[in-house]
Amino acid sequence: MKKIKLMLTFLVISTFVIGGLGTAVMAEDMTGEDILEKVDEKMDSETRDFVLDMTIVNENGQERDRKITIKTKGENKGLVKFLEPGDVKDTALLTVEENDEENMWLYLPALGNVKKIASHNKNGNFMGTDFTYNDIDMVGGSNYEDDYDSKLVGEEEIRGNMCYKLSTTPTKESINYSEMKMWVRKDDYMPLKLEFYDEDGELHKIMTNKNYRDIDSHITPEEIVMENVQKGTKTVLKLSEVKYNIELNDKIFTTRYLTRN
Amino acid sequence: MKKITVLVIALVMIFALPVSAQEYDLDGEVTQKLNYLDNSETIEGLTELNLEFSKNFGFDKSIYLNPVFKLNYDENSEYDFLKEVYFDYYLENTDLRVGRQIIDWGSAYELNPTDVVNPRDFTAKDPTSAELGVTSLKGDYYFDYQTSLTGVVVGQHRPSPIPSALEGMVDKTTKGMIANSVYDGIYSKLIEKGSKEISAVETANNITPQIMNNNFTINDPEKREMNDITDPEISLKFTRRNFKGYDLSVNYFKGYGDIPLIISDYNQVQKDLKPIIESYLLAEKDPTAKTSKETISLDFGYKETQSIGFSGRGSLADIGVWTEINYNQNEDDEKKLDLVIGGDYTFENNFYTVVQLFHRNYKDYKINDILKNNDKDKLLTDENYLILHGELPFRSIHTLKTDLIADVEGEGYMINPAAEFSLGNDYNLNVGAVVMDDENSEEDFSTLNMLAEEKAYFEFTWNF
Repeated sequence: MKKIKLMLTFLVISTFVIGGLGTAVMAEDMTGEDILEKVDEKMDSETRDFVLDMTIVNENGQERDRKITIKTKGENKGLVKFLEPGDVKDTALLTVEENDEENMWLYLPALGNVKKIASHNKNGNFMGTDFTYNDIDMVGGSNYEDDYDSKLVGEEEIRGNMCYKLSTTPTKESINYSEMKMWVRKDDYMPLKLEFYDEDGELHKIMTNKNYRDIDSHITPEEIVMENVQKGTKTVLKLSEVKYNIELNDKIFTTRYLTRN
Repeated sequence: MKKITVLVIALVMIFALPVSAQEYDLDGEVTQKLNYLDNSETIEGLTELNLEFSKNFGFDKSIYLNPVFKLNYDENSEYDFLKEVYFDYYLENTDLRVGRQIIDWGSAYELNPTDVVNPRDFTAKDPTSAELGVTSLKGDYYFDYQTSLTGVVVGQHRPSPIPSALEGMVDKTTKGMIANSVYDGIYSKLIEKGSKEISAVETANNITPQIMNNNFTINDPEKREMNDITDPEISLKFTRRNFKGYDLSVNYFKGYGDIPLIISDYNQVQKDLKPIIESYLLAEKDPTAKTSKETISLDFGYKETQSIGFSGRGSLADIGVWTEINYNQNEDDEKKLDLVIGGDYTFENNFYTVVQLFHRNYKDYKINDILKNNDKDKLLTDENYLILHGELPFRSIHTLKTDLIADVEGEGYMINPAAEFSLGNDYNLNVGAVVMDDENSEEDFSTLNMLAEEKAYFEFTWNF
């Protein structure tokens, strides 16, 4: 009996030690692609329904407030809609990815109909914010692994958190950044900071994710700041309402529903 | 005074019903416009309150009301107090909307040949975006998420209001056209009877004004709306989205033209004219003979018309591209073809630009044939316009915009530079000017001439 207890103790300890070593080895061997996959995995959710308060700050410090809602389903469907103020209310952007091709439709109430957006226009600022149409799509739900090739270039501390530093390059022609650097928190694979470089290789924008908290078992940033360092402007998104994995009918992500209030 | 009272009551209602407002969705916009009109050298002040009220009844029903209160608006312009008012009913695969509504079709920038359902208000300050609601039933049937069929039935034809100056121009042209015809009739009759050329010209010059005054009537513009238009107008559109990356649609329209045209049979007019001319020639020789008292009525009306159209929009090498084409044929086999081809692109500095070509071709238009017989220019001529639009944000929250419509043949242009300033979350200021150079504006019935008038403007908007 004593021998059996000893054997069991040995087995348990061995399991933990070997397992621990294995994890340590895995982490050390992780590539940029692995980390990006982890980021997507951690942020993955079947559906999301966010309401965000948006503040646009221009180079003179003047602020304009907006309220938007972002709904996503899986990795391929997203809907952004303006709730306030009145002059942009009900403006809506639908993104649907099919056969590796991303399609976007914009509904402007003043025009009264839904128009398809050309691929290059997706790099234009979305409704006066510092986010491009592509960026705003990323806020709704990351798909970094598909959109970027990644390389682990080191580790750095960001706001007291040890982070993996990744250098990524877009795989899609529709994204016109030459490079995106990403700092991913080692503890939980949450991206804390992203730097976007323009086609000349100059730093263009910095996105900072702040105040992560656990909402319905999803670690979520309460504040996202996109700063255009070339222009001296920024757009701040603050989470007002968050729902994960709720029932969102596929019909919501169709041009038919874009025009509905 | 009555309008001010209504406006005050509406404002009181908005601010006194915050509890009710929670149950409904109520939005509004107050706009104060100041226009300096170059033609009349006057300044006009216009105040407009635009309310949008909507309420959902569950997930499948909703109502929408868009009352508009205007102060100091131009009495000659069309004004709907209820711009839109409709009821929506959503079924599994079908959306139904009934009531006065504006239905926007087309994929091009500003000028949409396939946007055939609503009449355009040419008396509005900005006719490119001013459409008038029509009482109708619209049904959208969705075969799937990307394919749909839309049907619209409009109970009563609603014509496009056109500025009185243009109506006057049409009157003048029509009278001129008939006067020429009368003159030619008299002249040829006298030559036929052996008169000398000088004498024939003198007599024709003398008699023509008399016949025009005594024997012709041109329908009063007010009576131009034909009372016998009772058939409903029908529009159909088949849409397929994301077909190989393009949104495509084809549409069909059967109804009436939006702009009045001459509906009198010109050959009959010529026949009726002969005895009248004879009586005047007789009276020239014999002062005791009586001139004819017969009256020829020249009627304007909205001709029955059918059109088919195609619209497409997508990307080509990163550039947004679109086209719209609409072929229209009316009851007298007069044909009109509108074609638009355009593209848009956003540069890295967020400069958004649109380049578009618009082509309009008139064929077999009776009025053109009549004028051709009289060696006069056509009234309705082919039109080719280049349309440029640029939009550049500055200081993130403000925007500079410019629109240019230029006649490709170099016969005129319209340019509209504007700056939109965001003064606060709910306050905007729009300052701009419309400058035109249309050499033939006094005689030209062109789209360019219909679209704008020279002005400088200042618009303050408050959204709530």
